[in-house]
Amino acid sequence: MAALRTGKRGKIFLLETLIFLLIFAMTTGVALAQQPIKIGVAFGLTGLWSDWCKRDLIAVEMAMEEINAAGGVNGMPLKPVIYDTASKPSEATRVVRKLATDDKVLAILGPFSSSECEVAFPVGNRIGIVMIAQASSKPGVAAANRPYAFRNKVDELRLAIPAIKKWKKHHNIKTVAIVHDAKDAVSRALGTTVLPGVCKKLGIKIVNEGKYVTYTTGDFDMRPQVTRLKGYEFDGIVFGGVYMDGVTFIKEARRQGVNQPMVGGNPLMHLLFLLRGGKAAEGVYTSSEFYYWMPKPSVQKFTKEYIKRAKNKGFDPPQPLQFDVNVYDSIYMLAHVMKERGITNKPGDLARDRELIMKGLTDLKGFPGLASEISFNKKTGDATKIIYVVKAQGGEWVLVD
Amino acid sequence: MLIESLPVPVDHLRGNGVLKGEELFIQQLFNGVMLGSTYSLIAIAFTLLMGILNMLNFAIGEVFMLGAIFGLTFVNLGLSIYTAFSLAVICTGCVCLVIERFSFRPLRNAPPLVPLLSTIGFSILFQNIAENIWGSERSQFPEWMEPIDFHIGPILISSTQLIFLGAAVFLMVGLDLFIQRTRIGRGMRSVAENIETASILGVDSNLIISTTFFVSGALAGASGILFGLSFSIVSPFMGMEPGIKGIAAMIVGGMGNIRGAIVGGMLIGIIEVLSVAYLGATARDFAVYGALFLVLVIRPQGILGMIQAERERI
Repeated sequence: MAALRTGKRGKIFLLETLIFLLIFAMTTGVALAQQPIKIGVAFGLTGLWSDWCKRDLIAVEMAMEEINAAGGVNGMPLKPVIYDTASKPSEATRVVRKLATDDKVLAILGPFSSSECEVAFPVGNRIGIVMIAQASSKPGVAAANRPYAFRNKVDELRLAIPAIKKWKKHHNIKTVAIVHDAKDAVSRALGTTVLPGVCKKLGIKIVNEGKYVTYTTGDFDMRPQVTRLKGYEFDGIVFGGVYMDGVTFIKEARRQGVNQPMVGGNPLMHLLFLLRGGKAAEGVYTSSEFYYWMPKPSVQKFTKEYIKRAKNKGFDPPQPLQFDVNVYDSIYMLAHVMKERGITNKPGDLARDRELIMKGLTDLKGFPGLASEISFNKKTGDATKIIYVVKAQGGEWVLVD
Repeated sequence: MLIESLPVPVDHLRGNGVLKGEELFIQQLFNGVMLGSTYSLIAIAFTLLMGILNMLNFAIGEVFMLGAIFGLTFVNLGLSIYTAFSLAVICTGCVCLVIERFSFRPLRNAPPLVPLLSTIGFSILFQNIAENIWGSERSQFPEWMEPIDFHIGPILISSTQLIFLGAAVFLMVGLDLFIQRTRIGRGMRSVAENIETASILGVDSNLIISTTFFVSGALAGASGILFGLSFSIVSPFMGMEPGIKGIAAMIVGGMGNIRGAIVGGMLIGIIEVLSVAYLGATARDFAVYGALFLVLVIRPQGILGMIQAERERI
């Protein structure tokens, strides 16, 4: 052995060893660099929100394919790790914990609803992982769980103000009756705080103040609620609830001859509200951050591709909804901040990478989203975007001037 | 354009006048009777099995849901509502035969809790199958099939509400006659008393049990379609609540008693509607299950139930 180390053969052996070590180090480095970046997806793929969330998966697929085709994030492709929250808060908590601790994802998309976010956000915030909800809009849900909770969504208060303002002006509304879901978190907030607050601020009298007409999510019989409304005299109906209950309510209201114009919160903004509501849904006002026929080329391109994929998957109607765009934009924002902050995606840097993503999103200003520029409010964790007021007309949501 | 409808000039839409307190109460009472007739039909499906086989088929709620889904699927395939209704009713009857074959027949000698748990399993299975095949989104029967409304004084009634009420009364009388007067009905009564003795006396107990399951499934399916037409809702999750209310109606009315199921259903419907109307939606379950609790405390055998061991079953 001593002869080998000192002789010519010894030098060759040493050189070979060095070259091998160099190649090993390089190839290992390349292999590490190509490890996919895992992004958790905590959506309600079964249960109440499943139709919305299954559609959102198309947006996840589209955004990740596009980003990976363009070289990924510093050479690392994005990979979704998808779990079903069953649209239940308790399950959402478990999924967020599992994604953060077992799957070690860098960030989480979702949960979907305010009810889920209210209990899942604190878990993610304690662990220290960014969660971006696409639909939750109850005021203050992300604000209570800063700095890791984000919502790529404008909250209901800011969405309701322009909608009610325009609705009041167009229909000369002086008095309203409030109807809301007493179970769902965002609808309850809409009916008990947001919508009455906006009405009062705009000088509209609430005829059933303190005795709001209530129902619970998924109620099939709205006859008692509508009959109760017939005991009041008012100019308009203010509705706090999701679109499927909105359909049941508006059809029953028109059936019983309660024909006053209606305005609702953002959860009404669904194409199925128009499709299922038919003529009864005509003239209903709401507001949104996106509508699929926006003339922007980026929106048109997205819509075309989305419709193609949605049709293949059997979705009817196949047009994209606001939450799909929110998910799509969220993935692009995550990719942007991961690139910008130089995350390593090494197991040892997991906590550091997650913190970098959180700081990157917090500082994000004027990110070019599909429908409008997006910034996050540092205090509330909610997105700031352009709001569009729309009304149901001819089976379509049309922009209100 | 997603639907072919012209915009309604909403500026001209306004309410049809304010109803007075007593008019509101009468309309709410009527709303309660109408909702109650839905529960009554489901309660009859439950009580039939309870009375004859002393078995609680938890999957009835989901059979009710399948009835509506089958009906809608047949309508969407281009069949008339009458053909769709008949086919869906036969299908749900057959679904109950499957339950009988796998959940009751092999477990006939097992403790009563075993087939009960097995039907809970079927209930979960049916809901998941429906969700995976037809999707979780709510659908509805075509708009032209929606009910026609009538005004009787201040009360608004729809055609499906009347059909529901009529069906409940017809089934009560029809089933009563069927059980009392027909050969199968006599067989049902003998099986209700004692399966083994009935078999020794020449009654084909398997046939009687299968017929009972089929009839209860057909009933649940029929009420599912009527419900879908009446409320414009067809969804994989629509069976759970009416199913539970149906059980409550059966208990309130007296288990195993068809007339009791009708009375129990109406009572539960009226309590539910009045609590929603005057106390709010959150008070509904408190009022309904509070009433159930009260009935169980005051009259454990139910309003029309009998306590004697030798009572005439069903």
